Amino acid sequence: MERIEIRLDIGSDAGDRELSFNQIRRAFQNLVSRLTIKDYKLKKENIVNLFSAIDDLYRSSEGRVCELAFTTEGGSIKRERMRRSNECLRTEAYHDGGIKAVDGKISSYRIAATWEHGADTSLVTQPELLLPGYSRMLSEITPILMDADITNCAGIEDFNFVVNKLNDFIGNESKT
Amino acid sequence: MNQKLKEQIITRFAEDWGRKSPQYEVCVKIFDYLLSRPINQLKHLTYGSLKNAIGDNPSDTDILKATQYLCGDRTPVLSLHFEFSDKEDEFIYLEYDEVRWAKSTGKLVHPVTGEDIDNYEDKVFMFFTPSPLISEIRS
Repeated sequence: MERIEIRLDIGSDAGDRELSFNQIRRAFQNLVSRLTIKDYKLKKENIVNLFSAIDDLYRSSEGRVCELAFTTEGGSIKRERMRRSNECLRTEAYHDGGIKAVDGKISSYRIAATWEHGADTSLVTQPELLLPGYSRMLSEITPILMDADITNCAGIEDFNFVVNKLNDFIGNESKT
Repeated sequence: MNQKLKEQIITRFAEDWGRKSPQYEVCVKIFDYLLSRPINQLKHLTYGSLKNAIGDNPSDTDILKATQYLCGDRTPVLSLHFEFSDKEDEFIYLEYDEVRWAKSTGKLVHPVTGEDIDNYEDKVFMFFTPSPLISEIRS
């Protein structure tokens, strides 16, 4: 679907609907032109670089890591996934043993993590965050990752919950 | 460990960059890292792994300058290598002559198929290993 939806909460009085919609549309256009250069490419200073969040998330105790891809300094490339939905790769025996064998010297470039959200309510969800980097990015002096896939959300609360978690791993100057 | 040679190299870093410069700090950290890790775990160092070893403080520009310097003739601490990748997680080692030929002609010959590759710069990546000098110091 090639469409950007601009949604407007019109409340009870729909009389100014067109005026309000045009105000939002203009504000959106201004924002896009301020953030981008030719061909809608983001200006460098407006890029939120998520690459360092991959390793920072892995080395934190946040969430449950269900997928990790990394390289070792011995020359190997590893991709690991957890099959069970309630266990974390960080503490899985094979992974843990490998990490200890190389004294933690790995360079991660792709990670997926989930959180249990809404544990104190009747609906418990497991929204998932994927930071989909590539191994070749590790060969770049300044790797830039602009994508984050947020899935398994039951609603906007789950989405915002994951965005807030992600924000904890990126610099204050470049929050999403 | 050949302590005398190690100190000579560190002195050279200081002469070339100044002891208070960020490049000196990067050089010393990489040098120490190469001397401290098991040699069989230093077979493929990317900028990513070097940055992990160095820590957060120096800028990417300082790291770039320092690694270029460490690959040079004056203090040959790092050996530079190239690899080709046009598919995720598939890397093919390139001989230095292959890269030099590509630079002079503007086209890289695919190391397996022999086909010419245009715009090869985006598909050629660098990595580092400890140089023979590091082996000499460690002996």
